[in-house]
Amino acid sequence: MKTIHILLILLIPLAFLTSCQEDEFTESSALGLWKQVSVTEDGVEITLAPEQENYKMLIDANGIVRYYHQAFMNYSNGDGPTSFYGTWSMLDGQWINFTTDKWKFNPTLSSDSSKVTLKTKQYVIGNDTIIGIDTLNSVKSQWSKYHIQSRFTILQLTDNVMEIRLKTFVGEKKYAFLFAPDPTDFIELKGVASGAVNYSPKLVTDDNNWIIRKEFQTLKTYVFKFEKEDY
Amino acid sequence: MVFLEGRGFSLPFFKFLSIKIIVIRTLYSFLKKIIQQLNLSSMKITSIKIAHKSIVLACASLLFIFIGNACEEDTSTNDKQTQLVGTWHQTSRTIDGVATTKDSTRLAMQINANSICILCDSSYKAISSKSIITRSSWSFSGSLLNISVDLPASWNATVSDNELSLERVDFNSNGTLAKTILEFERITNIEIE
Repeated sequence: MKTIHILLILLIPLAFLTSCQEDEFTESSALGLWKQVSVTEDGVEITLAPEQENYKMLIDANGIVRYYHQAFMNYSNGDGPTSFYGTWSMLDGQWINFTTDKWKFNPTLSSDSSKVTLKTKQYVIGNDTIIGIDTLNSVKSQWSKYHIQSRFTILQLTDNVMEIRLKTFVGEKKYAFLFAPDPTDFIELKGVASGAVNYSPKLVTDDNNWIIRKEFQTLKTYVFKFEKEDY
Repeated sequence: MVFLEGRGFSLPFFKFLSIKIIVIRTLYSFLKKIIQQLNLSSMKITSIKIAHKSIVLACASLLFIFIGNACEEDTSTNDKQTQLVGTWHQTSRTIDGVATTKDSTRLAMQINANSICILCDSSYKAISSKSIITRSSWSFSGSLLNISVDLPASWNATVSDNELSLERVDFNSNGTLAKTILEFERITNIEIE
């Protein structure tokens, strides 16, 4: 009887310790090179632009993740940036966090006409001087860049497949590098200093202001699927 | 036990174990109250008390086993870390297996125990522009050597008494990964001011 008690005493903590491990994903399974194979929005597969299709993510054990995409590759006469980085962590074996670059949408509207305020500058064409939109300074005041962390629910994480889900606003997904941005949502910033970031979300005008604003108010569920690649 | 793999012995685990002990203690108190209400003999209560002590002892034993296992990995990491400390001279660089010119940003590299490393570039260009020294912080975990000036890339380090091999991968513009390997040999410590 005493032996049974001792056995029970030893087995109960063991049962407690191992009871949840089946449902948990391990950090080591996330390490490696992953290629994005599909993205769904509220269950409907998104058609990816060619620049988004070759999206890859290299997850390192030191908590750093490096991203590759071609959305800005054609900038700087074909020498645009293709490699980006952030951090990653796993929480309770159920969620995976990634930090990415993100742009905050903050255009100003004129108080009298509620039109988007744009900065202007003089352009000299031949003998004429005209006043036009100063795109570089306008987008710099309309969007501010920072870094955010997004928490994904892990749906599947095996040696070959990683499937993660995120519920977020359409605008957050579009302008937060989650993951490869659509080239049509961004523009090249010409005339920036050497080495400075030469890409930004597109210019906000009266035509697209409310469309983008609505995107930041519309919640959708995204599922990203990746396959592991050898290197 | 998968929970502990690759993590050493972490704070969340202590919390996890504490919760389990609290659960067991609560169960014990609950059982004790039931037995008291049923007016059972003090003999049975004593048995439960003994059982409780045994549970605590069993948990404590498990705790020591885990602590023992967890410390092994740290010792190995510390050994490698100690081996890394010193002055290293770059002997070769290969990119995707092809020998190429040495990385001039670190023809010599001094890794100090105070988490600072000094990268020396003795190329003509660096000497003429008076920029031969670059100071950086460093850390080592698992087999990854993080040198702050190189982040986000980290180096997979293989170290022995006299040789050091650093390997890293980077995305090419076409999306493939290029593997760079730097080989170093240990040299006499140099004093850099």
